Amino acid sequence: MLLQLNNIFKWVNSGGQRIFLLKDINLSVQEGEFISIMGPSGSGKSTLLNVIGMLDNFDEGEYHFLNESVHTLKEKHRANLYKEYIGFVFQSYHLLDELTVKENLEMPLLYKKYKSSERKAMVADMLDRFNIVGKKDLFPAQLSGGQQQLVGVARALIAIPKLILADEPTGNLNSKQSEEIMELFKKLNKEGVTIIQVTHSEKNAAYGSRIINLLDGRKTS
Amino acid sequence: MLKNNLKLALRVFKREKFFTAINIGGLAIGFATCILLLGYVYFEFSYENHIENVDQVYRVITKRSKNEKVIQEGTKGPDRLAQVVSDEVPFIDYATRAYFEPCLVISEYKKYADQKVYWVDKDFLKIFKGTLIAGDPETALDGALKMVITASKAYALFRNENPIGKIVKVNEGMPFEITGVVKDPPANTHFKYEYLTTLKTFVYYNWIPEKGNWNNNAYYNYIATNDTHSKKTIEQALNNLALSRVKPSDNDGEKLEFIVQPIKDIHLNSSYSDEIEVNGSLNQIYIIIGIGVAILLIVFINFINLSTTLSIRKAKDTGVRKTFGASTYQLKIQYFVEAFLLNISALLPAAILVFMSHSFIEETFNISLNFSMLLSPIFWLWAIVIFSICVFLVSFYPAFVLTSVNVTTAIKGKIIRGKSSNTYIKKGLLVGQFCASIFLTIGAYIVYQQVHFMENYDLGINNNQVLILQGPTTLNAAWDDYDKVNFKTQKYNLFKQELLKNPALKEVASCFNIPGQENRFRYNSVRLKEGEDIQSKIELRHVDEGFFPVYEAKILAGGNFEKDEKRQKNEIIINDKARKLLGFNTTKDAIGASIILGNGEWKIKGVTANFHMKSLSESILPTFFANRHPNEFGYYLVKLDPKNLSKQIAFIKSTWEEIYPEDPYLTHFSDTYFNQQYLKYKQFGAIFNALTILAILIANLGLVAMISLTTTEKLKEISVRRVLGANNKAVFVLMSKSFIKLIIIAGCIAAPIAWYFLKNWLNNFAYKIELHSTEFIIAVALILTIALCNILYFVIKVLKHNPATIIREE
Repeated sequence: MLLQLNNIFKWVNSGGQRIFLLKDINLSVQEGEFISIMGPSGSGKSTLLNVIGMLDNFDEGEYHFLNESVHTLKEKHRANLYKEYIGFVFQSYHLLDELTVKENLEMPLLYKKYKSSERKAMVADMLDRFNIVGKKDLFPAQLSGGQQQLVGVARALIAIPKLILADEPTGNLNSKQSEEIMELFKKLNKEGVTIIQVTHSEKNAAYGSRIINLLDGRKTS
Repeated sequence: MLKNNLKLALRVFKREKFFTAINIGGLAIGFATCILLLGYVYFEFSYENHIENVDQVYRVITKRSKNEKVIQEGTKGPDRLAQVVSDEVPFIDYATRAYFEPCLVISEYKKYADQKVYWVDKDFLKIFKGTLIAGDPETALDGALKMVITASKAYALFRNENPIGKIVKVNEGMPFEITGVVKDPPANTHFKYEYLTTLKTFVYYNWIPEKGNWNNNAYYNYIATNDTHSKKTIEQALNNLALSRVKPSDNDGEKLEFIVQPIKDIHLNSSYSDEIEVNGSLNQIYIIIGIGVAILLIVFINFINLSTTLSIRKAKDTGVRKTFGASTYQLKIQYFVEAFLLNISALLPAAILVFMSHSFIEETFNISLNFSMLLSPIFWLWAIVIFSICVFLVSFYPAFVLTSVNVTTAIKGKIIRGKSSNTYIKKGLLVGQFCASIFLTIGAYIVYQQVHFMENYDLGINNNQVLILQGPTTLNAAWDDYDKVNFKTQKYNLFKQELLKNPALKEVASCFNIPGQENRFRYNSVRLKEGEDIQSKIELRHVDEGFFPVYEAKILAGGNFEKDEKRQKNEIIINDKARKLLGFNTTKDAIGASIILGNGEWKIKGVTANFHMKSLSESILPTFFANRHPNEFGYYLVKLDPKNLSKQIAFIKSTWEEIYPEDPYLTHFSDTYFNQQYLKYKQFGAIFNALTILAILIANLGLVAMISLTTTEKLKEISVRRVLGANNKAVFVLMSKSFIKLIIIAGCIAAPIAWYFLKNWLNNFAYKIELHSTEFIIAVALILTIALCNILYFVIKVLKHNPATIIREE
């Protein structure tokens, strides 16, 4: 068991009314799964993903991640936890504009205790694996959307996470580029990486092993 | 990690070229200004450092009072003190008197007039220790007719020959032997002598008795102690000595006291009567330091505001970094590296600016800069510590704002409209900056006005086109040497007669001291022949019947002196203040009255209006004018016709050379000489103005950047409003509203503070301008106009965009 959510509630108070963003979510994820979260706009997909990624807090419920009770942890420990085990991929890539491809890949390692030589080796390895060695000195603005997202995925992977969270990873890409990224995810999943993605597309969702549907913050299936 | 941080910082600078340039530019100008100010302040505080054991050298101020009322307090004092003090007070090792006289000095080849000759005692060189470069300090000044000269004077008089043992002649021909050479006094000393000679010479010629007395005020007195002692201890010892030698009961109730000044305090902290040179003012230095600090604040506020706003633009980056595991600590380090890099890279252009501008600045403002502190490691230690603290402080807030962004909002790419506390701080800082600009503008304007006011004030005399000739020094005579004085007078009469043959020259006069010069003769009391002593500071001036017409001074009652050898001796003309002092109700009442002044009985011949003979920082004293030809030195005055000045001057010169072939022809114009008194204030005003302009410039740089940033932030809002029908005026109002509000708040804060400080500063002057609210309003309006011009520029830029495209882009 990688993680388990029990009766998660998240809400905001607006004008004396409580608006639920997540309502009684129960979810358990095994290592090696590839899960797609689907649902219309505002159904709470991204919120759920952020809660799983520990970027967002929740108001009620329990969250266990690798035998740690996330809901009892302090901010700092939580940050250490996600730093170590989770990689993020964003819809709009969020590469750092003033860093080259190589440096973007290196960035997550800088915040962990890797030696310079280790970092170099890991970056080189990753460039190789994604076939982007030739682009290592280019800046994000010099790449196409698909290539940028490729770098985004590589960056998410570089610190060897157990879990990858992808928020509409292909939302800004054309269908060919989408397919490439999804194939990549499939390949990674086969290599043992657990993936949770948020998506609008049935086609992309089909790559996953399980689909979770959300509506108004509530799990419908 | 550090290498990474540095590389990243450089890339950020490259991306934000405009803001980086403004930031570095502002910082560089600010730093350069501060370095220059430091050089100036350091020079002003480095006075007298050329003297060895400078902490043990003091000047003695003499204070005389009667019935608890101070009647004299000045740098000049009795000659007996220095003769006995080193024997009577155990911890005082040496003492010397110094008597100043501008003299004529003649060597074999050269003749120099108006030389700074000081007549001193033999211990002078032991007090001003370390200055002698040739000669024996024990014997160089131990007898009559010995002289020590400065290195540059030695060169001027004897070129490369060894000056020791040579003879120079002074004034009427006294032969002095050169017994030593001293270093030239540096620019940073109050005591700039060119020749040192002995008071024993006066004794030798029988002009003064060997043994001095306690009741004259003719000598500067300097002492050196054997160790550092408190000012109080020394004063107590001197006052005990004074009390034992001059008992008030035996001395007509007059009490003699002394005040000692550490010699290093003289330049910035002394304004007694008869200062050797116009001293600096500690207050002015503090004001200038204050302006320097204000400029630094403005620069740093620019930095904080710009960085904070920019760091919000970097919110997305920060969010991403945080999701990939960056801690706030690591992000802050990155930010500090950026800030340090920015500040340090501003130092280089600052140093270049200082290097290129320092000589220009020295010339323009007539100041000296001293950067010798750059050689001291302690200075560098302090500089590095202070610099680091400053940079840390100014980057603390932006770093805090930067790292406190919420991750989820940041990565969703939402621009964070600063939290309310955030904008308050930014607005507060802007108000601070506007306050400083407004304060300085008001100050600069008032200082300029006061200087202008003094230069253009109706003095009551007309200084224009009055040519002043230095009197013939070779004819100097003791005041009671009637034959010699008579000879000098007759020669002058001949000179005057010759000059007046030229129809362009209207009046010729002689006097002892000219307007703008320290007056030689002073008294502390006067009385009517049948009256009580009236205590007051009183001036006696020696002039002749030409003096009032030359200066167009008004005579209110009675008449001018008449040219009659017999009558002149006991007639006196007084000014209106003296008339009041003597208790006459009207000017007419005073005419013909007899008064006792000094040892003489005088009959009042006329009453003049009160006119200024000194700068407007001093009030007019009760003045008595006696009709005397100057027995020594003195000045001859000629009123010229404004047309064809050079022709008249050539005529005067040839006449002078004919009648006084022995004496050099030395002239200057009375108005220029008089206005020299205002140099100090003019210089202060000029520095103040320049600094104010700089401060406004730097503040404006920051303002431009701020406006540019808010414009980008508000671009969409403005576009939406325009699509919905807002016209150009509405856009302008929208963009300028908040700035106008801030400037008005700043004006309300700055004006009262400025009023308070300027009122205080104006109290330095006996005659001063009034403060009006208009000056304050003008200053605020000026700053407002400049800000609005900047805003207008950006408004026009915004208006050029098609609002539809901006909305579509979003």
